[in-house]
Amino acid sequence: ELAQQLPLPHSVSSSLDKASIMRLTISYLRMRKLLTSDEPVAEEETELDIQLNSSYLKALDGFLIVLSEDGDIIYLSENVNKCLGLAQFDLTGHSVFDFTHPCDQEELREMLIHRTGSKKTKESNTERSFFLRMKCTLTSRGRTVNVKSATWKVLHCSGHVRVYDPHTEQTTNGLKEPPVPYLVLICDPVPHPSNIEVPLDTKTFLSRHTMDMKFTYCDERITELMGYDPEDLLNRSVYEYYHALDSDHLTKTHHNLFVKGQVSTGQYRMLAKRGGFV
Amino acid sequence: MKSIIQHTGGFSLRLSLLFPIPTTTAGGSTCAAALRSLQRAHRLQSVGMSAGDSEGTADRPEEDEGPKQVGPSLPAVELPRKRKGDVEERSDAHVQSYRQSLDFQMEDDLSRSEGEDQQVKLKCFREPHRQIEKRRRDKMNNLIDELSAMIPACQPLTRRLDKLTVLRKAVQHLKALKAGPSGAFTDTNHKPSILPQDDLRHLLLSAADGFLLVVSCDRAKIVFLSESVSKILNFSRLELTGQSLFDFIHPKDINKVKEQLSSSELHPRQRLIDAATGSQVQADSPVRASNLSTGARRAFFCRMKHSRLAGNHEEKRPMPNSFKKKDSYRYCTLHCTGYMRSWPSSQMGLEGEAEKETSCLTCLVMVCRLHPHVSHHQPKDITIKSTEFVTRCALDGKFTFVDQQATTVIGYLPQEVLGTSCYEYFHQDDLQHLAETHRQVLRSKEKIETQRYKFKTKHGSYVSLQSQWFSFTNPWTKEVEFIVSSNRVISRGPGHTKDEEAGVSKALQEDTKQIPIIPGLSSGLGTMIYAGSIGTQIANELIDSYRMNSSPSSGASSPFGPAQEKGPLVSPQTSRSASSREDTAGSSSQSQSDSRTAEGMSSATSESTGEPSQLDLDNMVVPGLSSFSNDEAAMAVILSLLETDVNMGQSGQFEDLHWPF
Repeated sequence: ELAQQLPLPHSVSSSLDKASIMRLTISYLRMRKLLTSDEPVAEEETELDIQLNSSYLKALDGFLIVLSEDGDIIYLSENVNKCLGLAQFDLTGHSVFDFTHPCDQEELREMLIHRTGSKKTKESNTERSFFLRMKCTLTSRGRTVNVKSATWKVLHCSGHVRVYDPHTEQTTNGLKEPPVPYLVLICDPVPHPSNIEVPLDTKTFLSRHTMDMKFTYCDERITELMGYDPEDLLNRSVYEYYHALDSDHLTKTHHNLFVKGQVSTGQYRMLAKRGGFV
Repeated sequence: MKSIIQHTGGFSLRLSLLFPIPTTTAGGSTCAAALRSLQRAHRLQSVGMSAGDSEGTADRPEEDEGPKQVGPSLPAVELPRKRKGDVEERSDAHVQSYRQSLDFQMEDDLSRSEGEDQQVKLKCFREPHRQIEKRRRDKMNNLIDELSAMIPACQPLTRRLDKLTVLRKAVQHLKALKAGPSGAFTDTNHKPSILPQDDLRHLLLSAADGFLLVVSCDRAKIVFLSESVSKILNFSRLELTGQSLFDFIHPKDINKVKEQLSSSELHPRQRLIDAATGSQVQADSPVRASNLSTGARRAFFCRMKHSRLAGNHEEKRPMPNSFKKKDSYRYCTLHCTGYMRSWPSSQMGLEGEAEKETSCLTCLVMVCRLHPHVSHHQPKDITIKSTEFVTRCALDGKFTFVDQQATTVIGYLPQEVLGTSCYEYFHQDDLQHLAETHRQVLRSKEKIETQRYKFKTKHGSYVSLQSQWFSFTNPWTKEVEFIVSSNRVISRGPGHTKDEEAGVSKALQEDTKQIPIIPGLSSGLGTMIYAGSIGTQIANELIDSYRMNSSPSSGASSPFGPAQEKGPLVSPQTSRSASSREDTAGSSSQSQSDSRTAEGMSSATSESTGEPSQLDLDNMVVPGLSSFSNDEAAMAVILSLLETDVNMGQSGQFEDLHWPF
């Protein structure tokens, strides 16, 4: 009966086992709690608003995930199965550490920690952006395989740590619950260069490198963008072209590449042929 | 619900009644087989009651006693079944009855006995399974506890509620939520997801500052924007809707966005990446059609205008931007991902699209997020310290060491300032304060922070500094050896230059006329307070205090005495010899020259380490000087200038000798 109460499509709810029902119920309640704590924005929703609500998820490349402080998945959006092949309801309520690469767990744990800054110091940075490897059961052909034979997929996770502050809500005993931090993330897959579904635009160029980032091949588009001929660049390390202040970030990204397999950098500056940075 | 439980309870009664006979006789295998078949039958019956069963079993874990015994009887049955949801089967077999009913007790006994019999046979299976069972039960317990924590109704009760009540309350709660303000549940058109749709929007906003943007593909007209755009771009939703998107995009990105919006006809060279080789492949026309079709995805970065509102809170967040000031607008980088979708235009209620009678309007629906990581906002990792440099000076304020970085701040090379008194560079207005601080620092052991003061640079302008001074005391002699100053640039004020230049010249020329009143320093008539003397006088005070404290035992400690007898006639040599702490030879000449330079200093670079010998020299010179009239003081100055130029030692003293006429 509890399963029926859950706002799930009937087909799903009838096939859930006991533990899953419990899991989902708990997660659902947690989510409600968290959401109601946010300022209730009294927006008038236009017709269009309502119609388009469903397109948010579709428009996103990746999926949304809400994690509790100890790594339990409180909420996972549906499109996770497009991205990773896992089903939303299989994962909700479980600990995210079951599905992430063991080497990344440390990093993830760090991300979950929310250090509340004191009033004097400026508020702690709530932004999080990192790469995570998660189990992926999608084959290149788009079929799903069993979780046990899942491969790792690199996801770029970015989001914020928000704190659910139950000041407004008081439990009936008058006890105040401590503020609960939670992490809201959008996880995007990093597009693999061999599998680009989205047409590249003119401002994008492709290049290939050896492991130490020496160019071995470069798209000809680079000429119009930066002035170099592809031959100029061959066998030169790309580090020669990075701006000094960005080199820190790019070195870290390079490291990440070796650890995780795929990575995407942030914005950085690269030297153009005739001087100046692009 | 109760009826269901009882029903199943009744059934299992039957189950267990069957058992006692076989278990005592045959081995576990037959029993297991019997169990299995029974279970299957039961399963078929109770498909519709799965929910109920799960309820029933929910309270089972409470009894650790019973199930423990029953558990072992089951594993044999469990093994062949590997279906998902076999929990239910287990529950079927488990469910004996309601805790409150008496039947239960009977069940327990019966099952216990059967369990024991089975134990022997199933020993090898039992251990892990018992643990599995236990783990499962513990997990259920935990889940129930968590659930009870969630439900507001359960919280006030202090005693631990039984499982069934918890579940019942949960059901009620959910029902209440459904009926409650959320209202999204009423929308049954969409497949109900675990979260209502508008909450998704909120979540998205909290995860990444993003908004939804729907742009028509043909004219790039903004058809729709979500409310959150006002937070991110600081434009109101109304302002933007209906405008052309290109108005708001950075000019250089317009082409890029055009491409993304359009079909591939504009760009015949469709670049695809061949999966195998990773190199490009020129695709032909067949690909074209798919570009505009619904569902085709797009992803790109673009820069959008955002305006700064007064008192805007967004600025305190490190904006991950590449700012580009253009027409007083700033741009922020957005990561846009989306897909194409076509609508029949009637639904859209388009205005001003009268000429477009097409039945279908293709739009790009995008979620635009502030680009999550941009190296630009890393500057806080690359701690760009404000320019700081360290200087060390003697007790009287003469520089004995100057950091190399100082050159970038003050313009002088280290060697140019060494040996000169820092007071020469301080702005007139600050002299008082700094002298006070000087005095303070000589006496205390702590770091003293000065206020902002102006320091004269080589070019004549002033730079605002703030320093921390502390004195270093020789632990053995307990005397202050030198003062360390770490100076921090507060702001470079090129705007001050004009005033400062005027001030500079004033300071130079009027120094003789305007005698700043510095408390504690002898400033009687005829006293020439020029920069160097301030420092020395302060230092002298300290020395005096030392002298007071320590007995004038040796000549070393009181060169002052004999020197004074000689009057101003001090040859550096004598003072040197008098002092036990010898300094390098070259330093004496320097110490004599309290040279005030407006431009260019002598190249004397020998380090002096604040020995009392120098001080005494100064001390000697100064009192001598102070007794002179202004003219003579001026001459002294000129002389000292000459000295520094020539960088002499002996000749200096020679000239000094001529003084007392």
